[in-house]
Amino acid sequence: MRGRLTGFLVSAALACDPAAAHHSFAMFDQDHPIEIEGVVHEFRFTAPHTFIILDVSQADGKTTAWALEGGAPTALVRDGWLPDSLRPGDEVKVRIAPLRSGAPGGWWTVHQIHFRDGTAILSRP
Amino acid sequence: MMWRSSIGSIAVAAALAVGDAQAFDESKYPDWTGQWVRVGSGSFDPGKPAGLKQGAPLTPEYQAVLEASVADIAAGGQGNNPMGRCLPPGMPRTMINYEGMEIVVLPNISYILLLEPMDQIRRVYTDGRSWPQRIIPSFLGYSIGQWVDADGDGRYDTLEIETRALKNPRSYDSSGMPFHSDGQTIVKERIRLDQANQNLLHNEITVIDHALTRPWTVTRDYRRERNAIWIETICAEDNRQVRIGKEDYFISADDRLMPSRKDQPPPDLGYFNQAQKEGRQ
Repeated sequence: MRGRLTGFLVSAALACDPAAAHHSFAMFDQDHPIEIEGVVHEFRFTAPHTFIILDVSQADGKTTAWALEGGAPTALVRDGWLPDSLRPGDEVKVRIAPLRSGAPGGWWTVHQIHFRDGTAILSRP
Repeated sequence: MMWRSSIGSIAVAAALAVGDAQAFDESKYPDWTGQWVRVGSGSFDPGKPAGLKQGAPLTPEYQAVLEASVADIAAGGQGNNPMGRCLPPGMPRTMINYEGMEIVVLPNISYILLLEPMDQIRRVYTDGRSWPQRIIPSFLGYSIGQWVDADGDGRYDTLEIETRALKNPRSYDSSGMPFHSDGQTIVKERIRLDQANQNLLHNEITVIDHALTRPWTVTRDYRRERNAIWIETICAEDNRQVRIGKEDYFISADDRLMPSRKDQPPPDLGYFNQAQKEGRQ
């Protein structure tokens, strides 16, 4: 099953501490987050920050791979995440701060991602 | 036990090989074992908002560098932030302690093991040595420490450290607050446990730098995590934020360059055969 880009704006900014990271997050538009749905192609539990490569279906039926930057592995581990918390084929819904350029990239946090049916990521046995 | 580290088996073996290590009386030293996790924001002064609101006492010349950095960041760039391209944070920024650290106390040296961004090690010499005649500069610098019994109870409680011979480029944090280009920064630290909370470590950091109008002192705190999970952290593993020339780009899911801000020009491809790229050869 393919994901779909819901593309609606949400009012609340992503809870964040941009200065806490090794780089600035200014390239991500935190004032205009969007919610996207898609299928996990790859979950990269890597330094300096984790990445979800998410296949997202467009209105024209094509699929675009989004590069979604998350927290550092050390931070995710403290929140209970592991390298296999997301697996290829997982269908997820995630609120992101998109790249200001409009290119398919963004920034996500562990508090704003769920499986497509609304269940928590860490609820999986 | 001759040491204070949970990873001490290797370290103590090395220490035992050094004659006087066997005289190490651990009861004289504070218990700083465990993982120390950052408390507060990732700005250099955790008590103030980021960027210009940090109130860094910069000279006008270096205040202009900061203002240009903040403006570039506001436009989607990385500004004056060498760490954004995976260079080490250096001193004193490394003591923001982004992802956790461990402190190994030995009689003649203490090691500060830092995860972010590339599992670096600070060596703090406490053997009474003088400053060497010549020191090759490094991002972490050369550190000489002295144990102090500040409360007079017969046990050391404070480690005072002075760090010199620092290498550029560095910035205080991701906002791009700059150091003087002369590389003459001196950093002084006073590290001690909180008197009421043995799981809280304070680090009073004073920076002396020619880009400052006066010494700048901030205090950072670290929380003890006794059941630590250590994750290897190598920044170059998958850093998808890259700088080419003066522009910061983002690497896409299919490993191509993407713009990080609207209407961003592509990098100069002058050394590439454009005709070949366009399929004419």
